[in-house]
Formats: sequence, structure tokens, C-alpha cells
Amino acid sequence: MLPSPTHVETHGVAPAALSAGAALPIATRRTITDFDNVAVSQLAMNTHPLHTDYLHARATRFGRPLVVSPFLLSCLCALVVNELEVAAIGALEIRELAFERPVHPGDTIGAQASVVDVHAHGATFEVIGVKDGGERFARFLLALDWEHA
Amino acid sequence: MTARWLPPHRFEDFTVGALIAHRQRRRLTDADNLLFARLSGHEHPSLFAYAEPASGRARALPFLVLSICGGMAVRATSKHAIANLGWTYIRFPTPAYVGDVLRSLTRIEDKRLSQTDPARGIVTIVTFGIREDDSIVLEAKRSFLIATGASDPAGARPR
Repeated sequence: MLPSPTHVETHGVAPAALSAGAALPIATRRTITDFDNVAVSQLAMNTHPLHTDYLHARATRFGRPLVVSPFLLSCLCALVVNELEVAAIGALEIRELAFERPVHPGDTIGAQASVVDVHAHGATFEVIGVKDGGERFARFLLALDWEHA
Repeated sequence: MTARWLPPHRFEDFTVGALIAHRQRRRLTDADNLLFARLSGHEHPSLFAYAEPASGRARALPFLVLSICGGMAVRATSKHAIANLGWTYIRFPTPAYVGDVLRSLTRIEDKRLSQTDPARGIVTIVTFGIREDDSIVLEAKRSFLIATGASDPAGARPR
């Protein structure tokens, strides 16, 4: 007979606990690999050689391949949304997204997020992308609408 | 009358106001959706794994829609860009679902020479992602840096 659970795993911050100006704690980091970058570039039909042609990348001012930007955005948003205890994400929008420094395969990225604005069915976060322990490489606003868990 | 859009190699090749229909089409599969979501680290099931009750099909990860619709636009826009600068906005007016066939349109919004280095220019474009029923699933405005002909005569587009 299937035993009855006595606990249900919870994870993340509930919307009621968010307040404007507060930081959302994000402990997770992740390393972007060559496989990640080439796989998502090809999956997404992106033909820019800086992501998939390493000889070309070596001849540019960057000297090595760059991680494709929409994937970096997806990784940063995952780090933020994974920390929210909401039932469903209804809609999202990105504003004022600036890539300030290059990110290369092998770099380890993390995110810092703070609440700009919160309302009954969503919130806006300012998100900072950092790499290799603290160097800032991106900044944007992430507006989310959600259903409560 | 629709004109041909040749792949731009440098700043001078961009015509402000042009609206380019990209050639590529792409059907979104469950494999695309799950692979892209998990490679990105998304854990929230509503972003990639739950079927939408109304349609019975999974909603596509918005970042996959951005990647594919933006990716299909690269060949005719930013393939020779020096660097991506960022996006003014990225919106998803209607959701895309697994099974949808997407295509892209790009409008050349603006261009100007760099203030710090006139051998480079900044081009701003708006790319739309479109489903088969013509509904818009992506509207994204971005800017990138590209060399001018003066800086890179060898990089000129073959005529």
C-alpha cells in the first residue's frame, strides 16, 4: 500500500513575501559549456559564426567563441523564476536588456534579482547577470504575470 | 512588388524602413521545447512541461520562440555584426505552442554611426515571430554593432 506523505516539498519565495526593493535570494550558478552553446545555436537556426565557428571566433577581437545571447537570457530568467513559488507563469516581458561584457563557453554565470514593483498577479524584477564570481555582464527588467501556488 | 534583400555585410548595406520576410520556417517540437528549457535550467513546469488545457498542446518556452525567430533573422541581418548590444524590449503578444510552424519578419528600424568610433555603426531592428494563422508570437527590438565600409573595405558585400 502506498504510504501517505507527511510533508510536501516546497521551494522558492511565495509572492506574498515579495516587497519592492527586496532582493530575491539566488544561490544557484551554472557553467555554460561548449556543448550548450553549439547545441542551442544550431537548434535555434542561428548562423552567426561567433557561436559555432571557432576559427572565425579566434580571429575576432574576442579571440574565442561567444555564448549566444537569447540562451544567456533564458539561463538568467531560469535562475530567477526557479526561486519563485508560483503555480504558473502567465506572461512575461523583457525590457532594457543590455549585454555589457562578453560571456564565453566555460564561464560560470549567476543572477542577482531585486523586486522593482509587485502587484496581485505579478511583479517586475531588475536582473543583473554576473560571471566568474562577480563581474557584471548583463542587466534587464523581467516583468512576470503569474497564478498563485 | 517585393524587392530582394541581399545579405548585409556592413553598415551601408542596411536600408532603414525595409521590412524583410525571412526564408526559413521552423516547426516547434516537444524535443526542441524540452531540450532548450532544460539546457537553460528552467525548473518551473508551467514554462515547458504542462499541456495547455484549452488546446491540449504544450506552450512553447518564450525564450525558445525568441531564439528561433531571432535565429532565423540572423542570416539577413546581424550575421556580420561585431557584437550584439542588447534589446530595448522583448514581448510575446500571443503564446506559441508545440506543433506551430514559425516564421520571421524584420523591420530595419534605425541606423547611426557610433559616436566613439565612426568606423562602426549601430543598427536597430524589430523582429516579429509569426504563426501560420498570422498571429504574432514575438516582437523584439534589438541593436547591434557592425563595421562600416570605410573600416573594412575587404568586408564589403559581393556585388
